[in-house]
Amino acid sequence: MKKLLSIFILIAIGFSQIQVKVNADPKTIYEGDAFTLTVSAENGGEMPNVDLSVLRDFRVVSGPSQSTNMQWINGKMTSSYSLSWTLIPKKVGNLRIPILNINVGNKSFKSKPIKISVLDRSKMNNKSTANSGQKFFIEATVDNKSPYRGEQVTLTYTLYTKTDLSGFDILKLPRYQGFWTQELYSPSNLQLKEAWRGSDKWYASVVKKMALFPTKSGEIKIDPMTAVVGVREKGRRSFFFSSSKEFTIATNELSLNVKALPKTQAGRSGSVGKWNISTKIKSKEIKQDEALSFLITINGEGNIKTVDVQDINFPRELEVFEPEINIKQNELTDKISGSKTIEYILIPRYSGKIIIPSIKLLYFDLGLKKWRTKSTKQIALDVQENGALSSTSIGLTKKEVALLDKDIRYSDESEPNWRRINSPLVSKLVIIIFILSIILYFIPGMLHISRSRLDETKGSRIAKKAYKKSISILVENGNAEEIYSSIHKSLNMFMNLKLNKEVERSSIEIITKIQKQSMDNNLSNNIKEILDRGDAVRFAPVSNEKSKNDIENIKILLKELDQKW
Amino acid sequence: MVKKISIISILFCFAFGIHPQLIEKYQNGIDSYSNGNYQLAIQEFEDILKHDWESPELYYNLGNAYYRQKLVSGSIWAYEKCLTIFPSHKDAQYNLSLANLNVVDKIDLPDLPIYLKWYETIRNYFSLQNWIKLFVISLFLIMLLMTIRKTLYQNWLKSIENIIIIELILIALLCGHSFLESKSNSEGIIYSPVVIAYSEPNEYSSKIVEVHEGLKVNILDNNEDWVNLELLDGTIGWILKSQIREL
Repeated sequence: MKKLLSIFILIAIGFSQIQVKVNADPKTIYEGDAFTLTVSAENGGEMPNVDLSVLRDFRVVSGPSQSTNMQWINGKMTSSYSLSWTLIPKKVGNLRIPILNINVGNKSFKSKPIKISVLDRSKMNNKSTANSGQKFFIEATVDNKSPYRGEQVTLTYTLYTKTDLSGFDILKLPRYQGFWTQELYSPSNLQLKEAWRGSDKWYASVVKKMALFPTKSGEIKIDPMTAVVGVREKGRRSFFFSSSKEFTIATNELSLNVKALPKTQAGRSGSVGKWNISTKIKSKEIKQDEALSFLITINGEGNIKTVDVQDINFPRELEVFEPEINIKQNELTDKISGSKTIEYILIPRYSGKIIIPSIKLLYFDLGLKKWRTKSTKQIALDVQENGALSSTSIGLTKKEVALLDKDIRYSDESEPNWRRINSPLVSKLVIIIFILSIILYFIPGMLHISRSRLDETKGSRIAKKAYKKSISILVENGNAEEIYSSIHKSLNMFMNLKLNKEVERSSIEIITKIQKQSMDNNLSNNIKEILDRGDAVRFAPVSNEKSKNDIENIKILLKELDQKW
Repeated sequence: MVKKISIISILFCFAFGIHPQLIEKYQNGIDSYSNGNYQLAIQEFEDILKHDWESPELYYNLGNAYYRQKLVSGSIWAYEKCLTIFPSHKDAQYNLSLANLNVVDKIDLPDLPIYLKWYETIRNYFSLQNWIKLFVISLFLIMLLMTIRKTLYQNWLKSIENIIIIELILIALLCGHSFLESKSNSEGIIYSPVVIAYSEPNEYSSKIVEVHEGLKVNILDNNEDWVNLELLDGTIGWILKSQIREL
């Protein structure tokens, strides 16, 4: 029996119908008002899973919030899980929540589409029916729908109400893509004032003011802002607490048509606004190496934070430190204005006249609708000498400073001396000259050798002729005295020619020389015998036969000597 | 006049071997420079360099074109190059000092003593190649004088010979110094605007120093992608090869 009961219970749970409901409340709203979308699943046993990415015309402001409800009715358990979102429509007209895919556990369901009609707020006065439902809204307005790029646009959020509000809170500010923003005004309390829209009396309060500076040109959209409004409920006041109900509302979407700035001549750009520029310096007469404060003041209307002067080319004689920038913004004005001071500390490193150039500020004048350049007068400083050595902290020497502002010399148009890249260090010409000089070094030595060689060969030629020459002077026909003296002369001549000398020799000298040269004792003895007879011929007469015989002998001996020499 | 120059130069080039087309390129570069088309002038001059021909005048004009294009590193490189071939090129010296004003890094060196200054001035009067030429020419002169003296017995030449020998020794020392310096020191100019030198030839090692374009540095070592350099103040670090142009 127990078993049967448990089966019944299981069946009751298992087969009880899962019901999925999708509901929207209210279905008729004004632009910017929120409604609640609820998805609930009964008997599902778990939370439904919904994909809301198909909602193109609505924005999810908050959610999902979950709630669970369980009941026993007549012994049957019903469970209800629901999810709810707060949605705000993105546009006006008859909108549709499309078919939603809802998953509960393993099962999937499809919802029916729901119609939501969004009414235009501007027409609400004509529709008496809507009047009662519309009690409050916020409106976003801009002061200029087609500004120039960089021109300030003031965005104002105003809350309008007809009922007693207990609270107001900004839920979500848009990201303001395409703008440089600055908050101008954000009150902590609502300051409601009477305001008339058509024939209706409203109470209005500015809830926020923003200064927007478009950073690009073209159409830029400002997304709606969403806020939560608490409304006191009538008749439900207790002594201590006033009960209130919260509503989520959103502003309208705005779109700006940002005009591009005309091109500047120099191609640079500056800021937009109305500016004045001035410079201030304490004293024009200072000493070298003394610090000097140079103040640039820009004041006027526009984006004060981004306004800047054009690059300043301080002369190199001045050491320049990073400037200190102070911005003073005028408070409580709709247009951002104020003054910006740029303070440079300058230290002149050289004495003499130093000129601080004129400071230029390029901006787009909104009144004139064209680019303007405002500039200051240049300031001539009279720097007295310090007495101390000039410091080189700029990193430039005096010589280098003198070179500043000079231009390079003009191109060299003379005929270039071409050569090969990486031509060898020692060129062919060098090698040739080197070899020539080495040759020159050996020339004197070679000349000497060749001359002595020449001398030698000349002597041998003469020596070769010595025999013939000495034979030729022999006297064959004559007395013995003549014959023997000719023999002596002939031998002496033979020797002189052989030795390349010019001397007179005695007979003994001749003999010893012959003996030395020929190494033949027999030969020298024979010659000695003839010479001895010649020496003795003046004292002891020699027969003609004998002398003639000696002539023939000496011829043979000379020949023999010539061969042995 | 220009025509005359070009005709002469074409004749010259036949004698020395440079292609007439390169001469034309050079003339084109000069013309573009005077017309203010510095980019084209740079292109033409660099093209000649790519064909392996150089001249001090070319480097000087290339430097001017780079200067006008506000490419500091290029102009410094070209002027330095001009001065290595022709150290006494006055205009290049002047323009180099102007270009150097734009270099961010300034490394101050102490002033040399006066005798070293003189020595350097003399040494920088000619390039090493010209010093070698001078050496060989004076060697030749000595040999010639000696030969004349010995063969023609002109002993009075001996004193002139001695003077030249002293000169020759001085030049030889100078050449030796310059040669050793050129062997051990190759130099380069930083070519990228900002270069970080690392302690090792890779990007993971620690950063040593940041240098800027136009700075002249010594190159100690070379590998495939990296160059080991020494700054004038002695700091040593590695940078990428593409960030430097060798002189």
